[in-house]
Amino acid sequence: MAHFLARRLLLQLVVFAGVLVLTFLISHVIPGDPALLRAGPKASAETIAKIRRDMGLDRPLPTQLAVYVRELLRGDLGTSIRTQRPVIADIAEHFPATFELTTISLLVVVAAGIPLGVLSAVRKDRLPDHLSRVVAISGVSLPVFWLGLLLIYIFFVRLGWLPGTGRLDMGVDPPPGLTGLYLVDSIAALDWEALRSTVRHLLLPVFLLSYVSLAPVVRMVRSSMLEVLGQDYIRTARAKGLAERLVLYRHALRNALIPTLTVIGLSYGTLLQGAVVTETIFAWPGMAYYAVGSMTYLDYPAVMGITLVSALIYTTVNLIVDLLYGVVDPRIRYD
Amino acid sequence: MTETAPTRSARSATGLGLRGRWIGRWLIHRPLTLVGAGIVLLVSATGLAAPLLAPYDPLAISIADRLQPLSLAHPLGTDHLGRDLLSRIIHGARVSLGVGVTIAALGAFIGTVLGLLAGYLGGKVDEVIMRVCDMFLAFPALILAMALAASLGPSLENTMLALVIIWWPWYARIMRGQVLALRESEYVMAARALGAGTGRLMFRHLLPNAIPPIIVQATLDIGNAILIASSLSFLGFGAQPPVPEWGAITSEGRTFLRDYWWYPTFPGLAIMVTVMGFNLMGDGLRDLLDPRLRRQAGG
Repeated sequence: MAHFLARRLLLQLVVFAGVLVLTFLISHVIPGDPALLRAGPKASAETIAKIRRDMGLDRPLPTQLAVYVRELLRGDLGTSIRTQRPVIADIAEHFPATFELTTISLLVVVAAGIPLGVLSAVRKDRLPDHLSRVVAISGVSLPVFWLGLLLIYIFFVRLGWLPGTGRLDMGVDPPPGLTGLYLVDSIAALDWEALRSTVRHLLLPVFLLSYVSLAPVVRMVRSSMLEVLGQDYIRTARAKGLAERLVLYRHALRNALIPTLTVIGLSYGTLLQGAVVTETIFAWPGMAYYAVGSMTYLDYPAVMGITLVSALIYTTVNLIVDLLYGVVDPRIRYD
Repeated sequence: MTETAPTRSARSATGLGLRGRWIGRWLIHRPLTLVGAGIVLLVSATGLAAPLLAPYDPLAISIADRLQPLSLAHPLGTDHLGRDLLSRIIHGARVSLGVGVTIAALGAFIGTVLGLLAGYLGGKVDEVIMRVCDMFLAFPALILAMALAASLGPSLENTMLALVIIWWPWYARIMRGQVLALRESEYVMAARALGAGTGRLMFRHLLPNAIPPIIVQATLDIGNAILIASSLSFLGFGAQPPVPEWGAITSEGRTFLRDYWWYPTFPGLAIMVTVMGFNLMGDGLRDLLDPRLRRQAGG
């Protein structure tokens, strides 16, 4: 186990170094000139040259990379051109909103996806199976931005039931608290008004995000349930007269969940991507919303910071999934 | 395995006629695959014949006709510049299909070649190619594509380039896995014993046998590529106005949603139907080529 962990972490480091170089290249070998953008359209050639110098853009690429890595190791991701604040502070400010949105959506995906998958497997080729297939296929075929617009049109514009944008109603103060997760903070502060507003604002984006991420989980649960249900020990369990519910959930589902775990880990990546569009549609002040703004502005320190952090989150989740295998399935040994 | 081996050789012995009939029978039991293939055919035909089918010029501005509701003259209404939305969506089929097919084909081509090299040559080549793959796969695809497209400058061509760059590693992995499985098989050994060189072994013997999963994946990916490219266009990193790209049209229509619902609704619907067609068809293809699922499929 220790051996595996060490190897896996080392590999993670190699990949991460590659990610760093790649991100750096993307943001530095670009036709758009950040110095020009920062100087504005009326700046003189000297001003632009000075800004280039100040930003270190006149130095050779390898030097720039070395400087960047050195700063990075100190926890400094540079200063955003757009907001004039440290990128790390910007990301820290926007992270909780994204974390709240994606985590709740992931919970919904798991809570809805597993039962749907089981139902689909047990009622294979019957109505519930077809319905869950339709839900799954439509979910992966829908443009997220489009469904988001329709949801806003129906529930906000037409019916007026739910808010269309933001995390809180106008006039409601964010709950005080450390986490920045309004759900947690408002409960901790016993601020029921903020809690109500938070939940109402979460409903549409969470529905959107989990609906479009549901398919892989449902289909994985379905196919691994089908595989498990055909095995001898299930027949034995049935033969000894166990209740069908016990056979399904105690015997079959447990084993069917192992491959599902990978898919759930991968879903987190899908959720992060879905969040980009979801946050844009719902003006949700998260990381992805910040990312789109930075990228439109060619704010390259911010772009690099976000790409790096998202890759870090993504790979870490995958690492955790790998390690969880051993916990869920004692047959898997890492050496 | 003992069951499938004789059937397979029997089938190849009886030739294509029986195989065609067998696929036909299989398709009848999978109406959704047929529906998918039908949609794909329809959208492809629309795209190819766009100039003949579209009632108006998709770029012709007519301010007097702006934001017209659905009518006989404009079945899907008009946009904020008075352009006919139906014509724009019909031409959009051409744009989106082009985007999807190009990305999937280029991605599959690069990935196939690199995966073949990695799997067959092994050693250092394999190590390097696979680590580069890991590197690309470490990013959430849309975020990397956004960063690339934004850096290269927003345009449809750059979006396609960005998506090819992030897409090939998936194919390389599939191909490598296939090659590793086939490399030691008897027919390859036989070919090697007969004196076939590396190039001949790779391209004449391994490639044709390893390619089916790549084809399935590429079919599924045409839909995915259309979807992700339209998202990029919607966010402003892809096709720029006045290109009639479905995501870009939806984005333009977004501000008019409140009073003119049809404007962003129909281009989005076109994306959904098209992508669903590719997904249904790809799904069917996957089942068809996966011998494990094949036996269940008929029943």
